[in-house]
Amino acid sequence: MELRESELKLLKTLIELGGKATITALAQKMGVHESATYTPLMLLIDKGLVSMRERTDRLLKCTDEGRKCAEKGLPEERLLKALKRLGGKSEVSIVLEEACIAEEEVDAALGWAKKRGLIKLSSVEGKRFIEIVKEVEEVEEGKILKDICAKGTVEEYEYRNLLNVVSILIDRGLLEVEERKEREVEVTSLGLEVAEKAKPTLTKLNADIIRKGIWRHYSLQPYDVKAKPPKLYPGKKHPYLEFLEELKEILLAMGFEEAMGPYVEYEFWNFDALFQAQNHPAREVHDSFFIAYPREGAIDADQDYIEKVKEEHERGWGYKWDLSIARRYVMRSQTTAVSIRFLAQHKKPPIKMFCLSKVFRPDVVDAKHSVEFHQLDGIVGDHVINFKHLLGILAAIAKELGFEAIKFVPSYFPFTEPSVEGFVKHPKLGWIECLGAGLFRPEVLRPLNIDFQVIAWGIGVDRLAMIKLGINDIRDLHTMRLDKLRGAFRG
Amino acid sequence: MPTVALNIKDLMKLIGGELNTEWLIEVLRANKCSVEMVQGDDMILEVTSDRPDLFSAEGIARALRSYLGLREINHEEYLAREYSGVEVLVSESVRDVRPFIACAIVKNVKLDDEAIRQVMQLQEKLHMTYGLKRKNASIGLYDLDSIKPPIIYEARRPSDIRFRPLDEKREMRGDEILKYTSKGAEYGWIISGFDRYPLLRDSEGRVLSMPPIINSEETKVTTNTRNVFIDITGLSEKTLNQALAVLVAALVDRGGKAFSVKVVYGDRVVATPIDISKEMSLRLSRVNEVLGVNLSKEDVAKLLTKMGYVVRTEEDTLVCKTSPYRVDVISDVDVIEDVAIAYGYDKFEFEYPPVVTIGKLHPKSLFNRKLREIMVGFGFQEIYTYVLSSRSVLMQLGIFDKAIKLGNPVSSEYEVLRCDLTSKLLHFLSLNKHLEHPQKVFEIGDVVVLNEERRPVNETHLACAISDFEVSFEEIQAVLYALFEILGLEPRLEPWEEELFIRGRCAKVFVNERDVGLLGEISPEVLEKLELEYPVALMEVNVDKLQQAIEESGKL
Repeated sequence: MELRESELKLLKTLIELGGKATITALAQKMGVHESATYTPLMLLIDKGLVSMRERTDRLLKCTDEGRKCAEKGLPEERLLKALKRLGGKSEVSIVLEEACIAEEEVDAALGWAKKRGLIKLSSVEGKRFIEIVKEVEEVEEGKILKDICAKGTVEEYEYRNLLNVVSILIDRGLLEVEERKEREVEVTSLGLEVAEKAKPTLTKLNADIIRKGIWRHYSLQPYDVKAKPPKLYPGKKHPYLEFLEELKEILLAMGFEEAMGPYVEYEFWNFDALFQAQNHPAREVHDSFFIAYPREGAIDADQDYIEKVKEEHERGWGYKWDLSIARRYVMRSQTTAVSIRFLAQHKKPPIKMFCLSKVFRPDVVDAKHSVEFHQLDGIVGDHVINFKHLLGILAAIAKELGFEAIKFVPSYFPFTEPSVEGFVKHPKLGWIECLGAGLFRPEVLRPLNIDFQVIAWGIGVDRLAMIKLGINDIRDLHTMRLDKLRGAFRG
Repeated sequence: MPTVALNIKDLMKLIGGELNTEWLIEVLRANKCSVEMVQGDDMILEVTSDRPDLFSAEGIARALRSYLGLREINHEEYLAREYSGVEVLVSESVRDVRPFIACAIVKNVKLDDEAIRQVMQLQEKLHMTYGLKRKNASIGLYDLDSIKPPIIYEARRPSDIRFRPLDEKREMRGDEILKYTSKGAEYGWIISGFDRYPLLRDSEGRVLSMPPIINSEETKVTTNTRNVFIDITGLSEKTLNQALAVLVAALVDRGGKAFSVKVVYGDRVVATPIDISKEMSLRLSRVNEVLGVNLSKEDVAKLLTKMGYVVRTEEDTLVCKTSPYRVDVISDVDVIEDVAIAYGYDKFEFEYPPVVTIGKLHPKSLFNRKLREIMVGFGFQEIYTYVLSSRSVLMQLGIFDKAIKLGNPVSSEYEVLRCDLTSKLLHFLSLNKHLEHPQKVFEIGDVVVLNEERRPVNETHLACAISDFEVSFEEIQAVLYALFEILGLEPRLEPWEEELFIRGRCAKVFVNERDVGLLGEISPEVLEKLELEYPVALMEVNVDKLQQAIEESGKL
């Protein structure tokens, strides 16, 4: 039979106490509060190892009169002492006075002394005399009374051998009885048998228990395996970043090399190098973020290159190009800035580069618009490259992303020509506009002395991420809610 | 991209044919116009900004007419071959404020309400794009029959200007117009810094307009107008001539005939509108190279004719003359794009580029991947926050002054470029304090700081935080030591004081004498400010410096 550690402990304690004890005594012995014995006790009773019944205890204590007598002695004792002082025989009235026995005590004093055969009464010439017959220090009732008075309250059971004396004291009104009910438990014969054989159980195994072999003397308590465990929050990667990593894998598999660039760009790299005229609306305060301080710096590009960019602008757009505008800092508004930086460093074909990073543009922030989002830019440059390859690589990327179809329409970007806009087909959402692309213009490539074609594209990946992650609010890509990240991440 | 509203019936009338709407939408899309909305006869579309000639129904109809092969474009129709006899005399006084003007006259136009709406829309779209909100170019159209030429373009003191502006009830002075009219409020900034404002008047002193703000009521165009006088003033003659060509073409399509005007700048006399068409030489081989097709000269010539070019061939070369209202053709590639459009983007095959290379991640990406693995292994939840940060959080943490700010933020929520990740993590924790603890989060990302040359540069950081009912310095220290051990680095911690942290429970982290980061227990003052009730231990390290240290040690 399986016994928990607490059940076994109780059972054994009970046996130590002689197999029978009140709950109070049991708890005291176990060193716990009575309430703590309740559960194991009920379990033991259910198993038939312990029985319980109610018992009534009688408690004795002194009455006021009893306390007085315990202090001064019983009236008959006082009588005897006085008689002894008077030489063993004297007139009754004299003895009573000597013993300070009050009138109401007279009967008790003479009666009890005579009843025990301690004195003898006689009459001489009309006078009554008392004479000691048997000399005693104290009478038994007095002794018991003093004993009980000193203890305060006692169980009658303790005086089970002196019940006749106790009942006299009760009768004489010197003791009173109070009754108290007490539950008493007793080990059954089955209990004795089980206790003999049982191993206690353990809730938890620990290193000490294993190391010292303690487990051999215990059995392990079974658990409710259907009960729910405590919640666990493991370390997890951010789902959006995982999506971006997937995108990178696609590009890597296609042989692209990753490039990076700064968030704060020179207008030169963000616009001028991309043949975006200095008065182009995209460069206005409503369409690009500027930096409060420092506002401008020395462009990290070859002087010769800057000069050639200027020439292209002045020839192509017909305005006076201004270096001080190109020197200004701007929050990168297109990752194409990274592509052109890469080209400036890698002018020999074949070139295959991608950049997956953040861009920044002023906008009203809501479920669909953000001031900060991701672009996936890519370029392929070689002598054999043409427009069909642009469409081909984009179709391949779309396919890898799981879109069934892609289509292209004419578009416009200052730095590409021909330019295209791409739509991918989603089974539920239909055609989704998600990319801009084209062949870099000669005005972009000439200053770099690049004489081969370079195809370039930019994919807005946030929309695709939202579709993939099943979220409707673009801000959730940068969610500040831990519960969303801990959970299955849905918008 | 500019949006253009048009009426489908009007468009069909201009095209001279009937197209069902679905087909129309497809054809428009193939010509850089994407339809945003159709409601009854009304249509709204977006047009790419390089093609101002498509900013109105006339231009769109003209392009489609030719693209669909209904009628070829006759360049001559759009050119002002005859002189109108009207002179515009330009005063020296405009040189500083708005030096150039280009004009044209279009006679015998038929303008119904829709036509007027289209011409006004075209004018407005040109203002917003080409005209850079009227600063570069502003356009005025007038009823020629209400004016007595010659016309004088001059600059006058605002107090000397007096006329009844369009849609106003009374005559106003120049300064009043800037102050009290809505156009004045919108565009006044262009001229308000000058002591003289530009003014266009006729020989009898009748005011046509105060460019670039507003026209006069007296000379305005109505449905009764038959002959139109157009002026464009601005800062660059090239822009003016281009915009004028676009406008003249639209009015010609409303039945008009264009005549030139003589603009007299003292000794220099310019007849406008000028023919802005260009001749571009195009080698056939280049067309086929760029597009990856195999077209003949005749094929290309035919395609370009559809796109409004006049083409003649010289051996291997096609000499292509652009339509006299096309302003976007700069290089041969612009013509090649037109070949592609006429050919049809949907007809090109997809070809995977035959360029074989080996893909590779940026070393920083590789390292970040590794760090993310490690941090997740330590049981931290990755978070990903915006680079643009809230002013108030950075102020609370006392690092607002240190961070680079945007010059033109759109809201205080996104005003500052983060200069650390600690502030992001603390902000994140403060927003999630009601959720179950322990909370262990990390972020790897770029912050922007000024380098030694005072240039804003990216720095990659890693920060992680532990928040629980109780947290100790040791707990975060253990993470740091474990991380560094995996990376093969040996950290050295030096006591450090920083307001964010509890005094005596903060340390700077050094690797090979290089300061790479910070860790500690956040001070209760800071926790209270952020209303965080659970203590936080946190560390932030500079990933770039760790990577350098690893490279130096030759490990990994």
